Amino acid sequence: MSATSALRRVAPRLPWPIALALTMAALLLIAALAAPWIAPFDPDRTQLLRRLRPPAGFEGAHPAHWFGTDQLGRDLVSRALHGLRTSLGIALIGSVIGCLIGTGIGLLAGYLRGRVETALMVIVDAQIALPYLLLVLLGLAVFGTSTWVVIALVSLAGWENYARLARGQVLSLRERPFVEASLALGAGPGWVLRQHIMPHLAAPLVVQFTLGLPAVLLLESSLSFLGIGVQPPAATLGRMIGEGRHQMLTAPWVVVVPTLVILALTLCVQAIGDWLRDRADPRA
Amino acid sequence: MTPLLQAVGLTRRFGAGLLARRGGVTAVADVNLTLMEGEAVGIVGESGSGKSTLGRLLLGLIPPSAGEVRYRGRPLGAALAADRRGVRRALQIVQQDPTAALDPRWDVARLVREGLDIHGLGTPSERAARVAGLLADVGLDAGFAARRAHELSGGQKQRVAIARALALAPEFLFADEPVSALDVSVRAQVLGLLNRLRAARGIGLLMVSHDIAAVAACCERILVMQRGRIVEDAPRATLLRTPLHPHTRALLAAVPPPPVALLATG
Amino acid sequence: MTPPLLSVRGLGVTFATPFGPVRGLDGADFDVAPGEILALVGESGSGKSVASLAVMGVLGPGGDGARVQVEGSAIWDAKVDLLRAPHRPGLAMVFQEPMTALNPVLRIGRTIGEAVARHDGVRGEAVTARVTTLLAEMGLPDPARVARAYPHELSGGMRQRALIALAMACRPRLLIADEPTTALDSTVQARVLGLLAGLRRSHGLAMLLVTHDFGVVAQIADRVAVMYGGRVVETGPVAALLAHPAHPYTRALLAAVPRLDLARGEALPAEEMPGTPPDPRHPPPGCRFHPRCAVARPGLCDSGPPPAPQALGPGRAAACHLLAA
Repeated sequence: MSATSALRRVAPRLPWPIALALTMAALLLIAALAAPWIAPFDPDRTQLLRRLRPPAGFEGAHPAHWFGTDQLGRDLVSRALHGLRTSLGIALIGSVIGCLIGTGIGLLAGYLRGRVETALMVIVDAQIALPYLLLVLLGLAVFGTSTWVVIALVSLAGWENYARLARGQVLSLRERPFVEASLALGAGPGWVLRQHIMPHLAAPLVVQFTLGLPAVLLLESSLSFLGIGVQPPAATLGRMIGEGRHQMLTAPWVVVVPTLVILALTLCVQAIGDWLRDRADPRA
Repeated sequence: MTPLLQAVGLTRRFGAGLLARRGGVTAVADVNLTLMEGEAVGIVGESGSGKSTLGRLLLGLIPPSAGEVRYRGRPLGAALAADRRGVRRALQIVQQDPTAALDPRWDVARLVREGLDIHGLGTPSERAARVAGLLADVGLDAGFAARRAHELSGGQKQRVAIARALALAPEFLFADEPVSALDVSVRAQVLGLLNRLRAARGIGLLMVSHDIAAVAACCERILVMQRGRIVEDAPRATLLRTPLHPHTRALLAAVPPPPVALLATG
Repeated sequence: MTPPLLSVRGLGVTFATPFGPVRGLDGADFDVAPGEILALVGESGSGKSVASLAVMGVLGPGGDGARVQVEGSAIWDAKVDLLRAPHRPGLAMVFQEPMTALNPVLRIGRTIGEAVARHDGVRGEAVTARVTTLLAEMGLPDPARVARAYPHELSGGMRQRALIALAMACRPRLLIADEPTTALDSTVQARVLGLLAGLRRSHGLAMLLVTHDFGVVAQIADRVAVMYGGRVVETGPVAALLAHPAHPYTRALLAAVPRLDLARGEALPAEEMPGTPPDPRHPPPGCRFHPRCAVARPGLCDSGPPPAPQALGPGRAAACHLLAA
């Protein structure tokens, strides 16, 4: 792939699987962003005469639908592109919110110590102890089902990891001699946090973010599959699988197409996350 | 000379909280001490004798469990509350391990400039000129400004740490084992540098070390600490010639004898 | 003269690093006679620790046509399988930091007992008895209690004694000790050095002592090999070398140590040696010491290969261009 070789020219020590994963992830991201413009059909447009057509190359395929159509005759290329856009968007926005909240709480807990820390960490532990599905059902019951509620619920699924990571980093960084020297120079807590602690946090947070993203993607898909995520007719990858599961035996492509997209996306992001972790911390 | 820093019944316990077994450790126990302006005082003692903790208490970097520190006659806590920036600028530290003491993400210029940045002193060009002057003062040429700590040797890192401490023109420097992490051939350089800078600027020095010879190279007055207490406090010549406390004698006895030829010629 | 117990010739070690190969040790020669204590003295990057690890075989075969022999037989060459033969016969090692060298979750007695069982091929009561004897030999009071303790329950000095007991469990003839007292307080250091000297007397144990501290050298060693920039620059008996150092580096290093004149109550002024130890990634050409040397002669010291050792008298040699000229 030419994009891969271009990447390898920029970073010659990039291992080729990582270069491939980065290229794939970039292509998927571009596809998600450009979905409304590159999708050949309206993803929600039903064509009853073209129901359950197989992908190109199989018997009975329709030349306009490369990946085939589902039980309502909707184009699977368009649905996959829009589904990717929605799923990835929810996962990314949810992860960013979770990361910001978690990191903020972790920074506060680690830097202020004392009762603030105890109280905040009790909340973190409570979040871990609480069955997540219960929380989701409660949230949906109270706030109804909208995309923003789903994003909020997705962000709730990961923030405690960021909180723990940030707190642990702060606890060890604040004991480092360069922080003591900074305090002796007259630095206040804001200076120490901004200049010394947060820059050191960036690398582990990025690693945690990429390692956590596949789980969040799968979580959104699971919620949609269960029918408690983003509501129909909007396409998400999980909803596509959920809707297609009744035709698994007769029309497997309806499930296979979104599954392959999820697989490719999570594999790429996971590989990038592992690679970043190894680079950030060679001991792990 | 007026008293710069005083310790009155200064005590510090560690780990006395709920989690500590056996009620914690008293690192500094009821220490009374007066340091004059511009005075060079050394503290020797073994690990765990409380010498580094005492220095950190005097700088207000950790709070005492009992007793108090006075800065120019005022309680340090009150002085910091009234003029935090002024007091902080006056009291500086040079730490033991220069590698850990320098933020690995920063270049030398930013490291040396940190105090100026914190206090917002001068314009950017004035700060850069000040950094260049400080680097020259500690014997590093201007080319070091753009380097990062991992590109420097141990002695060069410690010079950077000294330049950082001097950037705010302090009245008092607490040097915590400043040469024990350095190579033998470099220690004399750093001790000599501390001596010259102190003499030129009239800075008070408190140097803590387990090595009585290193302390004696810089300080006219030497304190001996054991288990959190000052067991002997005397001018250098008196302490070396007629040590009174058994622990002082034990420390002096453990100093290796100087090589024969160098005693004869030096 | 008795044949040496340990003979090292042309020992070189090259590390592969992200910056390219780095020559950590650049052809070192030294001998240790039976019952002799040889001190390898040097600063960081001098190659002294690398040399001791290479002798232990920890770093793998050094290649470079190096020869390391114990009692005349090569102890390693390119064919030795290091995984199956990690314990050199007659060699044992004591590390600088006993807290990391001892497994923190095992009781002292268990750690030493494993070494005893493996070396002596005994089990049960015999192991316990030998462990207690070893710990008692190290001057530890109540050895049975120490054997039941975990490493963190002991003081630094006691841990270092336990580590020496562990090394002695293999009944070595040569003990390699890498900065064995550097982490200890000076008063404890003197007692541990006393213990090592006692082991030499009672067991006829030879030692390769790695240190940066001439004080330690003066207290315990018979001979010294001064290392700089990956090479041995001067060797000789301790008293003669300390009294009349021949190599400019040895002279400058001795003069750079702060010393005390107790009778006059003065600190003797230390002479500052300029510069820093060479970066092994970019060693200077010619004599490795010439950039810091007060007497270096341009054109002679700063080009060509590093100088070869020159014999200066009984057991003494120094590698300096000026001595050869």
